[in-house]
Amino acid sequence: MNLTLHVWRQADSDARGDFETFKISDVSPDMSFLEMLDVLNEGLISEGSEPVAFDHDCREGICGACSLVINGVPHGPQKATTTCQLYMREFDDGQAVWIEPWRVGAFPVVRDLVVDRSAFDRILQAGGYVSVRTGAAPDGNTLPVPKDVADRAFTSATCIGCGACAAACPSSSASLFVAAKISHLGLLPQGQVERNSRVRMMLAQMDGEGFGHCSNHAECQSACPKEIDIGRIARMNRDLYRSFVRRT
Amino acid sequence: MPGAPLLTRDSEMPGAWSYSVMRKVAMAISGLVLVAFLYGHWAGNTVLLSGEQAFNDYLDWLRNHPILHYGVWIAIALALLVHVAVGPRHWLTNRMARPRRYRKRKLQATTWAARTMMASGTFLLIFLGVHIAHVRGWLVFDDTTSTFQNLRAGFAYWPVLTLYVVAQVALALHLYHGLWSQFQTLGLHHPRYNHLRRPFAFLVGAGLAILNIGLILLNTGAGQQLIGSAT
Amino acid sequence: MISDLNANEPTGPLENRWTRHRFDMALVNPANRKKYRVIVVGTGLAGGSAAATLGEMGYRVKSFCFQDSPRRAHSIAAQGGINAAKNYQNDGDSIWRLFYDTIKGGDFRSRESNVYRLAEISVNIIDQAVAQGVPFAREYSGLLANRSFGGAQVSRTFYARGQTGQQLLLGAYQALNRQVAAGTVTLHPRTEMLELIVIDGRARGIVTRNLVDGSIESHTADCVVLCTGGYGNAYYLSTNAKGCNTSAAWRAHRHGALFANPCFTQIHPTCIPQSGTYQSKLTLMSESLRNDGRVWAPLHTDDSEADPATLPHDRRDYFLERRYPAFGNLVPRDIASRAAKEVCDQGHGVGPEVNGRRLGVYLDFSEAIEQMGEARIRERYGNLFEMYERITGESPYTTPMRIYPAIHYAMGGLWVDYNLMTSIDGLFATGECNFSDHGANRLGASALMQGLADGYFVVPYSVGNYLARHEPNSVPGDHAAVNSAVTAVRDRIERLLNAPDPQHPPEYFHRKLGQILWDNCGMTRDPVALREALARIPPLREQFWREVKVTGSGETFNQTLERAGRIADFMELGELMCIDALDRNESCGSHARTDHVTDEGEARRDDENYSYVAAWEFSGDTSSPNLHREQLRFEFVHPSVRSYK
Repeated sequence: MNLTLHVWRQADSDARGDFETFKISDVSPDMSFLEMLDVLNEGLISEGSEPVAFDHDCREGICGACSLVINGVPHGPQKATTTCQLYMREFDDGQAVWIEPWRVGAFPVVRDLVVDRSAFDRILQAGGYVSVRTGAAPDGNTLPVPKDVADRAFTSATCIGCGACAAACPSSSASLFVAAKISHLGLLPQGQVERNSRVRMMLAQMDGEGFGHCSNHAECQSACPKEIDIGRIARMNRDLYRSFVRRT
Repeated sequence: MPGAPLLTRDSEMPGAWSYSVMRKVAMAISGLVLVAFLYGHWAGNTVLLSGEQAFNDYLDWLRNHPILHYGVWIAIALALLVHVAVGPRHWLTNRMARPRRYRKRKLQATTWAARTMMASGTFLLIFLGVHIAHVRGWLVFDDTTSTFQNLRAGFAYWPVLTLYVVAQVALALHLYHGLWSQFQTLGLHHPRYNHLRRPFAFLVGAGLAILNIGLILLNTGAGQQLIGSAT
Repeated sequence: MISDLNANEPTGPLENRWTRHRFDMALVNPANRKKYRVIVVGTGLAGGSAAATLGEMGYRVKSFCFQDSPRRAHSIAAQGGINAAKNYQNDGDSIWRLFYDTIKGGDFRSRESNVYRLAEISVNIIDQAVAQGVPFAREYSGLLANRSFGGAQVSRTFYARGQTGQQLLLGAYQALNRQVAAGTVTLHPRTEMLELIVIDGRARGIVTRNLVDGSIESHTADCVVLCTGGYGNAYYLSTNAKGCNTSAAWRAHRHGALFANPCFTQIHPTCIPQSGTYQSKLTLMSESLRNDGRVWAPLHTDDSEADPATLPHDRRDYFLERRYPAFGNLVPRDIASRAAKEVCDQGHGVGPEVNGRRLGVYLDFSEAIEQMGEARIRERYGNLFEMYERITGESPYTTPMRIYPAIHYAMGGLWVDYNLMTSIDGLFATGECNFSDHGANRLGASALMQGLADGYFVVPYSVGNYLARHEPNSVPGDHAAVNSAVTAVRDRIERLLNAPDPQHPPEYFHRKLGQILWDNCGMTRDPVALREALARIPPLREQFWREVKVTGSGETFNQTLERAGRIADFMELGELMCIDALDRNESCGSHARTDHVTDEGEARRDDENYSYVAAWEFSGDTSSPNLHREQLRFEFVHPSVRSYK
């Protein structure tokens, strides 16, 4: 099939940037979206132009590197799917495809479709962990964790840190990302000791990074490739005000 | 490198109100106070239908219960203050958090009500000013000094009536998102009851608007005729 | 045969070796640790855990990764699980059994002391991960659940649905984050190591390129730890992430670090078959699928397009169950892979034709769904089934999956001694990047175990032991060795950007190299094919340097330049893989030489002549490396013939 691509091009974080239009033909429906861009890029290199920069790595939907807004939706039209797992059979012959980077002030553009998501790392550095020394752990079966609690913790822990939640959010909020980690650790017995300080430090860091504030649009859970739900955000909010009321 | 310096355990932790989440908690609570007030306000104002004397008696009764009267006044003034202090601030931060907008945007989940909170809120604030001026008699539609008569005269004037009705629609929209949103903000989340949150917001928001519009319409000439023919 | 490498193994009873060795190791006074600087390259399970633990001990650590965040290292993609000899299932597991299974699974080409230590440490890893909040699967009792995995006859595999690697990596990443907050670890994301700095025979630092602005920087330290993963991407198509590369290890190799057993590359039997020539990578489906799925191919070649859901049982060939009745669908990876290849080579393959061949066999869950119900299967494999459906457009709940083997893991890597130190003083290698524990073939769910064992529990001790014998001292930034390393990096980038006759993008050459390696040094090897590969790779490499076309400049974010540099190193490693495969005149583990098979067609090992680790030294000429041998001594197990019949 043939497609018209409108791709965001920006030389670096200071550049203004604009869309560039490409025609691409002979796209196979069994290609992944990124393979389609690979083909485009190899053509660009062959003709001596600079290829389109985009983040990608594992190409199996788990590393969280890929980050394209495709026709106005982070990770494209297919639900619960990262860009790298999106296949061209989801598109129609002759379709125009707009490809933009995550547009979040806290994620400055590095080049073209590549953004800097180090703000997410700093939020987790502020408290997204259990302070356990290597070698100091008791036997793994010392603390039983009810299966449903463990399953819920796991569901929250499946966040891949891609940033689609903030990219989708009309307010550019990182709440779903932060809430996922707070729920993951806050549900488990191992995470209880630092539960109060964790939510306070991570949320303070989140606010400091320049994200917007959650306005409960629920766009994040629609965009999340791992389908993490906004119930996590409710839980995080409760954890925060609870932290001002009672000590753990 | 962009972004904020990393907070560590040695950093001084911010106070409660510097957290956006805590400000939103305040927003939710103040919103709930205002909704509760508006329902009470509607219930009290049903006396308008019983005529001028009943209405004046009601006003006297309020004046004779200063603790209730001024307590309510202070509560809603504070709630309004919080609402007005937080809402626009967050709205502004949110706009600045995305310096460059998307060329293409396809929203998946949000509602029109949610995206127009700032607009509906601003409109409601302006309406509130008009409404207070109307009730206080700063805006005069009748040559008597009677609040009752001035209210009825206002409702009889179509631009005022339209403003009142449109304001109720804006209120319904504002509450539809606001009342749903407060469940999330206050952490009221339970898989068994989550499906009731949206209908609750709709019923309470639209219900209030319908009750108010009904009351207003019954206080117009046509409404009075309707009541007259019914009794 | 003479062993000319000293692995610094402890002696005495196997069970006491690690304990004794730890006691014998020198310690650095806690107050002095902050005077030492350690560079850790890579942030996967091995690198993340090593950097976190070294930071926690008080050393000043610099951690590097080419990804935009440490959390994206490719360990994240491991699906199945992690082994540990906990014996929670009371099914007869023990440290000794895990040790024995690992040695046997590696076809007796690994070092007893290392493997025993790995099995011993395995139990601590689970405890550590649980304490970090890794949400392992649990039973209704609330206690940890286990499953049997890839050829093991005990249930010793801990798992977190199909995302065990992700959860363990996030655990290590969180531990790393904690140290970043504590100020002991400095992160350098989007920074790629391009050269090793060796001064007076000691590894003293690295030269990196900042991938955002292209700046070339040198970093010096008291020792360097490489945790840079495997080289499966030499084959172009593999289950590795696109960025996985051998450059850090290869740079070290060119400085004198020996590269061990490069021909030992593992094929994973359960991957999604290739759909076309544009394919950029192959996707692995956890091998845990073989626990409940049955592998078959049509018995008659003319049934290749028949509907698999309705094809009668007597026209199906459940070839693994037929050939290996004791283990059936759970035979080790290499055996399952070769069996699938043979079936397809005989024309029984299914799926779309690519280059005139159908490369795929069925993995069928219909009976498992019938017996256990769809809900149970969904709980176990839901995310894998979804992934399969997204990629192929077919639902495994109704149609059998199609699978085909793909390159997955590299058992070979930098040669290290018992302390995980390479042949360069002060240069350590951990995780997949070293060769140490898996011999000629790795057992399922053992890669995560090794990465974390090395990072949390081995290298922190051995780095301390090394540093305790050296005064902390800083290398001046303008030291001649630093300058020459920086110059070498700059020159190489210039060469890549300014090929004399630029014609093709780097991938063009990578695909060609990959095809040569897959055809000649892939699932099966023979001397003729290997010699052919050795004849074709050097000219391809020359062509690459002459005709590679890299657009853009070195001073900006330039992904083409990044890839070109990595491919250039694969061009050299690929040749060494073939040299090693040709040298090893036996079949063992993943290394299947068609000229070394038994009368029954099974692999024939040659313990008399090849019970050694082949450790190759760079001679200055890529095509003629020097071979060093580390003779393997089996004091506690007796090499037996693997039989899974």
